[in-house]
Amino acid sequence: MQVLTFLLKRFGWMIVTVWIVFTVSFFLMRQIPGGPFNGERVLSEAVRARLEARYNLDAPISEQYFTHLWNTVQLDFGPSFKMQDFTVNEVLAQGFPVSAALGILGMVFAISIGMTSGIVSAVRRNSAYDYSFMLLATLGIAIPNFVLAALLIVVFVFNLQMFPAAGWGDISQIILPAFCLGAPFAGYIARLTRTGMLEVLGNDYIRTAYAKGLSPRTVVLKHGLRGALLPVVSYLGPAIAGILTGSLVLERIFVIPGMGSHFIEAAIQRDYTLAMGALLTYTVLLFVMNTLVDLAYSIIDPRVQLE
Amino acid sequence: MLSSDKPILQVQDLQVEFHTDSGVVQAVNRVSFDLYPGETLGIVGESGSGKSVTNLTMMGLTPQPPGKVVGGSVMYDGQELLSLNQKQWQQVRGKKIAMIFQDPMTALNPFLTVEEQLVEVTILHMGLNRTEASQHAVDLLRRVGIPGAEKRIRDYPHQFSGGMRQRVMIAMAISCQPDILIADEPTTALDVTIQAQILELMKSMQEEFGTAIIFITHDLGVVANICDRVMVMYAGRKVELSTTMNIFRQPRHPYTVGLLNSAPRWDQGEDDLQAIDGQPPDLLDLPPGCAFHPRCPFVEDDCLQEIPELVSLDREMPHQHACLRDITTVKEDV
Repeated sequence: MQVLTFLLKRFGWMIVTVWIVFTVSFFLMRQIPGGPFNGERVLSEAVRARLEARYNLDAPISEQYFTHLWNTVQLDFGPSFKMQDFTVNEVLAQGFPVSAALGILGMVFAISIGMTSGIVSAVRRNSAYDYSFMLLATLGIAIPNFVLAALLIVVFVFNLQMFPAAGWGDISQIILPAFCLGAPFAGYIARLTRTGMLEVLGNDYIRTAYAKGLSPRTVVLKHGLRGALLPVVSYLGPAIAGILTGSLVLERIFVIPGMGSHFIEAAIQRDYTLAMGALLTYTVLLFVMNTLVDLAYSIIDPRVQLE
Repeated sequence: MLSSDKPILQVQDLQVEFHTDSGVVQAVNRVSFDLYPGETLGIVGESGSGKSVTNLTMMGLTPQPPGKVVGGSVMYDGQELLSLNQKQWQQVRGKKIAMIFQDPMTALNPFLTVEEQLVEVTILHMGLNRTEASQHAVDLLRRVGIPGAEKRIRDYPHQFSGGMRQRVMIAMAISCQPDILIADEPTTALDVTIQAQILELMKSMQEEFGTAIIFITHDLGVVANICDRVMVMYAGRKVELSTTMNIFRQPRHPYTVGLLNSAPRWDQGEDDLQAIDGQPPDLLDLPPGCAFHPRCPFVEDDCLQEIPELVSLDREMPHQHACLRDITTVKEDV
């Protein structure tokens, strides 16, 4: 019941947020100089007028706004200006699963590598493991992912020839980009897990757990991990946003037909409808992820009340 | 009371050091005592007197590093505890020797239900299955006086009051019917009325199971209420050990006298409360000779030269104390 009201409230806020994002970006985009039909080839007045009429660009701006808003409410983002013969919905339906797969795998890398090394570092504090993991974590955070991508391509594609350099469709093609995408987040998560775990392991209830005769493994994983997870879970919200922007760059480098390239090109080419569609998809995605994070938080810590 | 049985726990010359950045601290210095089945031994002393470290060592829980057990022996039931490995310790902790901690607000895991924290002990040590362990846990909660135990067991610690949490801790500690229960200031964090209830509960549990209790406290009222014998510690050393009756009637160490004088009594006005002069000793830089001499009203020159040995007086009850003076003759002047 509590969860249901929480979700309803969140949904309401999401609608409001999406509407604000829609409005701001709608007007901002039309304020930027240039339009979808400004190109190297100068169009004659007649052709331009016909194009603008076809895409409803000759109507007053308020009318355009409300038409576009109404279509968006019906989940119809309209035709793409640049990729003719495709609707924005089709473009998104094709690109989104690709980006999602990349992002999810990147996140899986980040969480599994980050948490494991964080726990080991905390439990074996000041050991060689600790120092090397934390050094790697700092490197992971410090090295931009396009540099890491270039390094990995040199090593794994050209020297070891383990993976193909680019493209999409095969499992082997997703590993390198997903790793590059996840690396900085793995670094952050490792540091957060280590700090969280060290703090938790100093708690009285950990001593109680040892005094019960539980094995160190049970103490750390059953009694310690939950508390140590909390800072990591709070970080997942921003991390997901970071994964989204990170994948814009990596999709370029590894020639992955995801949403990232559409997003950038749509903005550059003033493909109003496509840019808007991509933006709103990201907004909803972020909102959903943050809601999931809050839910997870309340599941992990029974003292947290959902509001 | 004191039985003539063999002691269930024998601590001999226990020495624990802490290696800190500023030097080595002798946290526990050649402490010896016996614990008999079914008795309650009080350990009294200021913060830093080594009472908690002594007891953590008996559970193998001294933080190492910086702590280090340098010497001595802790014999439990014919077994040398100090030479146990990790696996063997796990068989002792919670099963043979259990512990109750000072602050029930922090000693229970806030992320797990009370049920989960209770059943994991009995599943581990008594080989119960989940259903049996749950049933056992409900019984335990009922026994320690938690109303609506069947329902409350699914609650988390933050849904209980401080007194109730300490009851849960007690239920957890006695769940495997340990031979020894170490209670580290279990009532200090509680209201006075709740304190009395918890003490009553511990007494009745002791009667029911015959558990020997080591009761660490600095509250002499609690000592008088629950303990059969008392060991007084100062700066890591045992300075006096006797029956509660003897300690209260005829204390033989000036520090014990000071403790008694600084505790409120019903038959004395507030004005008669006397604090012990001076500060608790700096463990990194102990005074030469008797560590208590800078604060002692009976101090004479030899107190600065000599660390007093324990003297055993065997009257009707064994009484040990570590003081060069015989203060019983001059006590009236104080």
